Amino acid sequence: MQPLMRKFVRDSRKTLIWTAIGVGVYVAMIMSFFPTIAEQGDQFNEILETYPEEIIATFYSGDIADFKIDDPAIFLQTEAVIWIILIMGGMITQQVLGGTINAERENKMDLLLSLPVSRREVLLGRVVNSAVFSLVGLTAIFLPVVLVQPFMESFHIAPDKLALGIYTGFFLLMVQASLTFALTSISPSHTRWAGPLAFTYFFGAYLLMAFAPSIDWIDTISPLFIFKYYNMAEIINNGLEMTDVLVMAVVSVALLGVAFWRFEKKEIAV
Amino acid sequence: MTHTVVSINNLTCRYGDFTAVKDLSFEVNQGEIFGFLGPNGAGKTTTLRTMMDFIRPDGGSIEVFGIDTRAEPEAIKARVGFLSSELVLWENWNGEQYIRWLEKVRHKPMLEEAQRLAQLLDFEMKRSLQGMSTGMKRKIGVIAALAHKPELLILDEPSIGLDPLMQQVFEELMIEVREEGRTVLLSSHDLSEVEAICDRVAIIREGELQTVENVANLTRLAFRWMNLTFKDEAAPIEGFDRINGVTDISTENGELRMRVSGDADMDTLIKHIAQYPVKDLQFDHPTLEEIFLTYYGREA
Repeated sequence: MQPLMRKFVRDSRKTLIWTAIGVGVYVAMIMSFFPTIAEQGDQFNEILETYPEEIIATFYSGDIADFKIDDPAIFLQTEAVIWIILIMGGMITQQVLGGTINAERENKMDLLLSLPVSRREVLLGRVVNSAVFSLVGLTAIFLPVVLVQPFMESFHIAPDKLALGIYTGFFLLMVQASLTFALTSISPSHTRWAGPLAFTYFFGAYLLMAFAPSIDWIDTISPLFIFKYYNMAEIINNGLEMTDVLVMAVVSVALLGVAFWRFEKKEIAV
Repeated sequence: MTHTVVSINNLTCRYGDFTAVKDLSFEVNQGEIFGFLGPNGAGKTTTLRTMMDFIRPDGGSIEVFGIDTRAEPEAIKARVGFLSSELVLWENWNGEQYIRWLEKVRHKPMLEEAQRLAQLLDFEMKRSLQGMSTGMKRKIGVIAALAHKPELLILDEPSIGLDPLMQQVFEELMIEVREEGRTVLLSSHDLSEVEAICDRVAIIREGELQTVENVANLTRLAFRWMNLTFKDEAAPIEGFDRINGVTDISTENGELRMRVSGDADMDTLIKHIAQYPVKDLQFDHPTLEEIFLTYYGREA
């Protein structure tokens, strides 16, 4: 099991390192704008109030009445975290596809499964790799904020709240990874719908969430969208909603259960 | 006493409406090199992939070392070396790194044997796998399959991409494996390859087993095409048609072509040819299709 995990992590280490560096630099750069935003907070908020709700909701999935751009948590959420989560979600989806259904098509899965390792171990190795990728990416958001904020008087988020806010994003990313694992385990490798469906769900859910405040039917189905359950700024400012975490955890475990069950029965590369 | 290493019982595999393997049964015994022969698309790879538990049978079963492949695939794979027909490697490693990783997965020392095999196959273990030719990748595939000294080797079209010299080294390696009492099951669509090293052969066509034969019998039953060119004169047909085992005589562009069966009266044939000034003589191996047709007494 360990050699498998080490191999999977090793295979993605360059992507992991450069993603972490990129995310870290981006967060530090975005934070450097905050003193200006804080100084002119009233003007910025006035301008933002004139924006349609849908646009604000694109950045901020919480209660729009609470939206203040000079709030450090909301600033970090809207200017960095939401985008990084979107990028990481896309990368994890691609990584899962590469490690499962694409590996089947490229005959790499044959090579792995010709060794005395179980299918469960192979899939578990891939899941651990997605978890490591998520945690490293989230740490790349957390560390620059912790390191930079002592030098910025106007920006302060307690490190424990910051950690809770950022690392809860792990559940969101794992739901997306689990969904992709489930879809790739269900779909025969000659079909091409698992990837598009996984990407459509993730980015579609994000975009539709923006219209939930103003379109009733979208609002009705919004519990199906993963972004409804995670907003870093709300966690930092109002505390963690355990129900949201539970929903994400249960959905993720259920989807992984489907993935393991179906992968065990799957005809590889057929 | 002969032990059965592989036992395939009424195996049926379907892809949707298409039946790739129909009611296939044969056994492979310990210490033999067993050829699994058939044209492309006959169901060879499907059978081997089912043995490795990559795909699941729609009917029947396979036992390897007396263990059902569905029940304990990992226990079987620990004792098997497998080479896929479409070998794809992780290219971010070199050969040595790959073998060291396999040692950890298999919990067996492999590097020393891998280095010996690499020397025989003229493979550079420290060279990156990235950008290697098909033949070179095939070599590391063979090394990885052999280096843990498996009791059973399952090789799907193993000689694809190997040059004739390496093909010979490969054949010697297979004979070495047999001499150590280990077993080889290899698939091929090339009769000459199977003839060279296999003890027995199963022939599969359109998913159905045609026969399981000793290679010696197959060679006897098989035939070759003889092509003769004579100096300064038109090809003489007369007399050839009366020789036992010589049929289908034709001439084209001054060349005399005839079908010579495995049990033909070669002495008479050679003496008859010797009456004429021969410029060139060549043999062509029959295609698998021609062998199948011979088996079933139909005209090619």
